[in-house]
Amino acid sequence: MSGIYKILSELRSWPTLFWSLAFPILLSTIFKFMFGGIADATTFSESQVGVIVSAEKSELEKEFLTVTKEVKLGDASMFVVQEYTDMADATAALKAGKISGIIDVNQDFAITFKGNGVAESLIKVYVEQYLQNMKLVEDAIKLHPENIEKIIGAVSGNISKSVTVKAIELKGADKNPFSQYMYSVIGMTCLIASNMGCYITIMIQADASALGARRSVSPTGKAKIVFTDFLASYLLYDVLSMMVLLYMRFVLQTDFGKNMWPVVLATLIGNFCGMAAGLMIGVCARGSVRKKDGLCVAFFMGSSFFAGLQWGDIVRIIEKKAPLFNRINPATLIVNSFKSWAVFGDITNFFINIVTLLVIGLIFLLIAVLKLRRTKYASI
Amino acid sequence: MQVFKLFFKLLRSNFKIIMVYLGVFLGMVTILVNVQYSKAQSGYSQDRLDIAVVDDDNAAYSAAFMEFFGTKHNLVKIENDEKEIAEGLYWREYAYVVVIPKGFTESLTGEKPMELSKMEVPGSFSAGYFEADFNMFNQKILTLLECGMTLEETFQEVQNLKSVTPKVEMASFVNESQGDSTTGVFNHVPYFFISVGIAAISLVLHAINQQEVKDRTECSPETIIKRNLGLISGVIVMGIAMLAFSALLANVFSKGQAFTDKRLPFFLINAFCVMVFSLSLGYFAGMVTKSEAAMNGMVNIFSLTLCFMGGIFVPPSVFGDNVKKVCQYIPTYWYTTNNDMIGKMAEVDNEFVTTLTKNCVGLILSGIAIFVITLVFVSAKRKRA
Repeated sequence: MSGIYKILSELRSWPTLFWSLAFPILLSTIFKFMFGGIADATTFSESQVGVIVSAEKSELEKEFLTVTKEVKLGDASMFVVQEYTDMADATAALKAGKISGIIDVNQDFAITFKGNGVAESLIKVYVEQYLQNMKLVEDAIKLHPENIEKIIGAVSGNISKSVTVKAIELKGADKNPFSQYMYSVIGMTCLIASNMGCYITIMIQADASALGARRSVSPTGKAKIVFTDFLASYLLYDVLSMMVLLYMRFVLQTDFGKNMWPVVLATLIGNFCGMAAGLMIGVCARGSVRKKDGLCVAFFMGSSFFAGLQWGDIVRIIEKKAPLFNRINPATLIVNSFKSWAVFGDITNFFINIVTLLVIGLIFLLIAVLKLRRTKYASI
Repeated sequence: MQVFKLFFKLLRSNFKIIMVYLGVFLGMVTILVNVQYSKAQSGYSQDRLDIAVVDDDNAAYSAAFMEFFGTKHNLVKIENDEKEIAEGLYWREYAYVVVIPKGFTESLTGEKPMELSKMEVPGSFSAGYFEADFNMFNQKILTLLECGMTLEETFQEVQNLKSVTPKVEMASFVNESQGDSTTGVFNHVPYFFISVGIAAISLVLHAINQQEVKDRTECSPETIIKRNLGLISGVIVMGIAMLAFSALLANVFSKGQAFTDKRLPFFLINAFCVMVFSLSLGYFAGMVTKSEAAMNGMVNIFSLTLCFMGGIFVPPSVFGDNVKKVCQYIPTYWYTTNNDMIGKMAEVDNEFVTTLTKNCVGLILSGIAIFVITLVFVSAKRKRA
């Protein structure tokens, strides 16, 4: 009965529920909008390149211009070539952003850039290949002058053989490079449950609230009260996080792999760990309600930061410098459990992550229970 | 002065919550500056990848491969163990795995070369360039063999070709310090301003707007104008302190170079404009929210949304065209555009001044707009009450 009252009282605290639901839904929508078009961003588009040639073009310059204009990547031309006779004009165009790089044919194909980007890398690789092919022809003719026709044919692409590089696909279904951010949102959602866990302790500790004082002298055992409140809050939070998961899966079409059940399981255990962490913080931290709230915020913000919410590569950096931290950080464990299933299709790593998460949650719970037992107050 | 002093007393009492967001910002900037912005991008540079090689062939091709790519990337030989490979990719120990099957070198001189295999983690754009390079390496080998060269001559020639690279230099108008730690620190400063600005101002306004406090204040001899001036002064002083802290942080990370950097005034002007925007967001959040949970929710929503869409956490170059069209209306995007431009600045010209002014004015006007919207909201709420 008290569990039902607990659920009803939580439902009446709608601002807390709203922000617990609004934050992940809004943030995941933003991420979907931003990273959903990543395929378009990485789809190739022509690079603008400036080529400096003399007014009276030499054979070398004519040939280079022809090849550069005709070279294709797939069905599209690789470059749109702008011709210049003067470095100053080309530099002005580079500065104005009309071209991505300058190739000076008469200065040994020296390249000038203004930044480091996709277009710049493409120009550099192309010129490098052009120069290397020229040298290749030169050296091949020196070594085997009798094969001159074959050499020219081969460099022009008439080769009877080819080497294929076959991709071995990862077992998971999710190939989106930015799924990491979606998983981090779910991880943070799970750990926001710590606020609810902390609130449970505030409502049981005599020095934290008036209700806590009344409950401390009630005939009902503290263990029963805490257990009921924990279970009620946990069930309610599970419903909230399932709503978030369903939104991400069916509205945002996030790919969680072939099966949803591992994702649901990881989320439920993540909620448990988050709530247990909140319980532990509420019991162990001395001070005002505000301080305990602050510690909960520090916990879920810090944990989510190190799991890659703001910067995806941080997990890789931590793996190199302090790998043990990745094995115990709750948000990282949640994100890795999603990754191991959705990206790698690796059920073993998935279970290692969620069992570790469960154990951490149980440790938090144990600490909270031991601290709560037989607490006496000299004064409240 | 009472309200001004009260502002800072309230800030002090809520300092621990504000410290959380400050801590996240400091942690993020420390790691990012050391990893991504530790050296100025004074020249063109290509990413060095960690690549694993499963060499079942152990012959001339794999030796040539290791020698050719060993100078450009970090190569490591591993066993052909599916579990070990998956673990390595999972923990990002390597971004790309090449599998050379047994007998591959021999098959190059046969009718049809064997198939190579690869595995990669989705999301590495640098791995895409490596793969293009790898394909060209294979193409050269086949071309040389087609020219009539022996395997030994082919692999020797491929190594000789490696040294043939064009000279690459940066344009004279490019600042050698572009992409340095000063640029990096200022790039992430909006997260600090938005999260701490919203948290600090909201907490103060929550305390001041409590019903019993408001009732007592309404009967006080201090006029509403004086009280508001006290609050506004407090906010301004806090904003200036945050700006000074950002400049100090940039100086620390740049090992004392930021304060003598000629770009610093422009960085500070840009940061000041985003600070105005952030403080007005804080005022909005403080007047709209009633609880700390709601405040925390708003901090996270605004700071993360604006910073992601502004291109602060993820570079705008990965945004699709449709996304860029929308993000162009986000104030933090204007800030990032300015910051990048200031970072690359070698000299002040008309175009630089025009773009900087346009974006800064946009930021300030956005801040004023949010402030006005908040006033309208508060006025409407009072009328209803």
